[in-house]
Amino acid sequence: MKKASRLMVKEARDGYLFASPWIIGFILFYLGPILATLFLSFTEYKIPLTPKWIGLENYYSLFMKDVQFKVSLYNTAYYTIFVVPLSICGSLAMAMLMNKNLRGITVYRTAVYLPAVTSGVAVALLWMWLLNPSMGIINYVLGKLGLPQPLWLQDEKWAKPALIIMQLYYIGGNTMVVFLSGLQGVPQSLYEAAEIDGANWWHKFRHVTIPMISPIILFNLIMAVINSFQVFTQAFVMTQGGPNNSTMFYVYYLYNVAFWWGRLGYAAALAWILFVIVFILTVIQLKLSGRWVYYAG
Amino acid sequence: MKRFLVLVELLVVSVLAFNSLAFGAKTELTLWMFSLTPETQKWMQEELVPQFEKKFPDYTVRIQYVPYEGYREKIGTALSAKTLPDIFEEGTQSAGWMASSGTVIPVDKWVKNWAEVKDFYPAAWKQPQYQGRQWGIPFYMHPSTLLYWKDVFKEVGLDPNKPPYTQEAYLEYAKKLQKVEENRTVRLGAWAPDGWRALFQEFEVVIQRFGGKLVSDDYTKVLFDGEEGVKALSYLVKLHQTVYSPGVAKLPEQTPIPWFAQKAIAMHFRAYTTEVKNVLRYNPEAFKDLGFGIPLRAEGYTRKVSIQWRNSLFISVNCKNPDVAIEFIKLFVSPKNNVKYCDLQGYVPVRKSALSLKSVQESPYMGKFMTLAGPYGHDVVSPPSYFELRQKAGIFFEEASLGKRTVKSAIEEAAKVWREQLPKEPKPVIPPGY
Amino acid sequence: MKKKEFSYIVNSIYYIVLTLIAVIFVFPTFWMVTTALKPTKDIFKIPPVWLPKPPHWEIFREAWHKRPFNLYLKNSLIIVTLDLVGVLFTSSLVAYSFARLRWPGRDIFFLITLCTLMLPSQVTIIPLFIIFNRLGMVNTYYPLVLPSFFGGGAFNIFLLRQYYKTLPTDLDDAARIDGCNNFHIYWQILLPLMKPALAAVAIFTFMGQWNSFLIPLIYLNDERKFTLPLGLSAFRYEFEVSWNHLMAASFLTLLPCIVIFFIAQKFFIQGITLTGLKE
Repeated sequence: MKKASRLMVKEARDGYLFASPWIIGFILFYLGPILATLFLSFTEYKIPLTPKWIGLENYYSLFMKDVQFKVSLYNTAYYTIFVVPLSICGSLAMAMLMNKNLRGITVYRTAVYLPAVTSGVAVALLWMWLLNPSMGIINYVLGKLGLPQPLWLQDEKWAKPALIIMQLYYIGGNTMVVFLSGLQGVPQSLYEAAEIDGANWWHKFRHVTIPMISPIILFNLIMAVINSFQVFTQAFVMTQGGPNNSTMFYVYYLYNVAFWWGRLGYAAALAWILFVIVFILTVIQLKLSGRWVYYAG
Repeated sequence: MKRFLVLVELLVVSVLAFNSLAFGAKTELTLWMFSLTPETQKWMQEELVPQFEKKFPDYTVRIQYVPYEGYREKIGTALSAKTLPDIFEEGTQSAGWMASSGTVIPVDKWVKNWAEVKDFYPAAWKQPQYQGRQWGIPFYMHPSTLLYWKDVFKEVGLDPNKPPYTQEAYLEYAKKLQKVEENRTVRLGAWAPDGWRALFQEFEVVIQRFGGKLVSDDYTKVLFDGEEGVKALSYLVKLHQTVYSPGVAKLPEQTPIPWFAQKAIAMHFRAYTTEVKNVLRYNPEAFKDLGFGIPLRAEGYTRKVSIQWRNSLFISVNCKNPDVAIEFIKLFVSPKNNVKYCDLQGYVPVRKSALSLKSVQESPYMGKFMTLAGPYGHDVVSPPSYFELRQKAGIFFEEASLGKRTVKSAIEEAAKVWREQLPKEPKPVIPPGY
Repeated sequence: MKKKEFSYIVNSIYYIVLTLIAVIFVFPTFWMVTTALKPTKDIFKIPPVWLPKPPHWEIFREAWHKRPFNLYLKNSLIIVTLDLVGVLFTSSLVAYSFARLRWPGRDIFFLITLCTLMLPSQVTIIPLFIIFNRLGMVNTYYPLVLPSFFGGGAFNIFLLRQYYKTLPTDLDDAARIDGCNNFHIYWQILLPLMKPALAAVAIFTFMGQWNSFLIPLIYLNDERKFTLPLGLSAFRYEFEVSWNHLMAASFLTLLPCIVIFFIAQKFFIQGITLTGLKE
């Protein structure tokens, strides 16, 4: 018994030691700002004047009086619900496609990764041109094919779908890279064993690949939700929240409140509400993950 | 592992060494601007600063370009941490916010008896004023006027030498000039404001054509829900619905394509020197067809007014040598330097005397914009919460433009927002001794 | 014979599909390069001009010399190298601790780690700036680089922790029996197996820091310290953009990213048989 507890103490000591860079880093770079923004959310802080304590008034205003808050939350939730499955499935499919040892596969992987590293502003502006209802190529092609030509970013019903479709452009990006690295870690021996048992492509995918990369899938899922809820650049560069608030996303609204209105207290309240929502969603995902995620280690 | 640590240490030391670059014996004034191009910055560094150093040999100026798209974050963090530079640029509606922030020194004492004040365009000089004090010095104007395509006018049977002079005529012409073929907008008849930002900005202008005002001069009373405001918003809504009837594709400004220069828009009442430059750059053969109009007025009224941006330089309380800083600013806005700056940037000088300079008269647009549009800029309203009030009110205006709200309701809701906030606005904070 | 032919056909189809996909994805970059090379008046012609006639190859040199990009390149390289070193070491170590070692409060702290990702950074940059300002680190590289040496951020820790958890614990146990301590297990047994995940982290760290705009913008006040993205911003003004220069400089900035991505591919080796397992 004593030997076991000595090992446990040693393990705990090593545990703290190895995690210490992050523990210190968290205290230095995160804890302060997190507590500060929590405090600020209970104040009226028009930078750079002194913050004034107002209790729950920011939160009250947000829930009771702020239309844009509700609209931006709706827009962001709408966006997330569609983008997350699209992005996960698309990236996984792309990763599977790129997971072959063909000659030159590196070139193809780089090609599909390019949109992820090309300047976001340049890509966004290019898309605005492509999607322009009368001068852009996309509608031109649709017209030739006899399909309806929506007004895309200029139509409040189509603006969010347009932005969601644009996300398809990133399925060769970071999410795919993570999947790829996960796929690399699946030992060949498992596939060989499955083949011997007579498994076809789908069986191999369903019963070897998915379970073995399930921790990675969970990672991508959680990150996709967190990131989708913080969608910002498209609104900032392309739409300014329009038309008619249809692309007023939560973090874009927050940015406006913090840096154009200068009301950091109100912005902090917005941030914390977002935090709570995303936190709850993450905890749900983590709890449910016990059922389908397989940790070999 | 050890080798890596040594490498890391070396890199850290080199970084540290990089930090403590000797600053030299001169006192350095720091300047942040976003209205800079590489060429302009080069001129300022190589010619303007030496001019200043000649007068003040113990000082120098370090100019830092801060890109516009990150400017609010940069200023925001510096404001909060109280680390603003000695001199910095701020935009047209910033006077109230800067004045009430307590981080800026009002410049009255240095300009009260400054003879050159008379030479500034009054609208420009007024821009950085708030509640009776002068908070900054304007250094460029970006006026707008009407531009149109003569050949397109001819095509639809309009006289190419008679641009519209009233906003109502503009609307009528737009109907004739619009060309939509089976759902494709081939050509927009005219530029019309779209979206909350542009709609509110133009509302500020149009209400002045009807003789109205947004707020009283002391910022206590909201005035735009009177009949002038209703007329103004009604016009803008009508214009929007004429040009952007349902199904007609807009040609938004955020796309990189200079639509007007490509003749995809026939008339533009908010055309800056930028539009002329775009024609010269992207469609030079068409320059001969370009027609210059004047700022519009409303039918039955005499006041011509168009939107005009004017930015100013402010001195922060962190500046230890404001007496010297103001001299640099004065040097920067002296007529010759101001013209040089504006020429490099494509803006228009704030100095009336600049018109006498040959280079201005010979420029394809500078002289024209100064005479046609310079004196007719809109009166700027800049309460400390301007951006918040603009966004909140603008959303209602946008709904009206899309037919989702009546004009009356939009004005009422917008006025409610402004009325609620104005009494809560922070008062100007004057640093001790000024 | 038949099987060989069949796999040849399958491979060819595969290549065709990949090429089609690649063409679609490369299109924005293609547009970027051709825009850089086009004579200015052709950039926005409607209908569009696809290929530059004639290509202005000198635009690359011109754009590069409009600002001191060589200096910015050097700065970016210094920062990114420091970042990579810091992140690869500390995040792999911290993630190992979360994944393999038991210590009181571990799971709660892991949840707190995830929480740092959930608060939008737009609100935390101001308090963080004030902290760095008090430490006298404004206008230095410390705010850009220090966090990398203190765990490298929750994203990397989370990713690596998940990846560690795909590796069977039998490896650890076998190593412990052989007398390895916890650090050895991390350094000699597990880390080599983490190559694909480390390559992924390296890619993300590089790309993230190389293209990072807002943080350097806020902290750096001396143009001699600027990084490449700050240099690129010189071509975007409030009312207009110098398109050919911007695209040219952006493309040049993109090239090292492509190189790094290529190099990192070496570590993406398909299905390594798990070594170290005594069968």
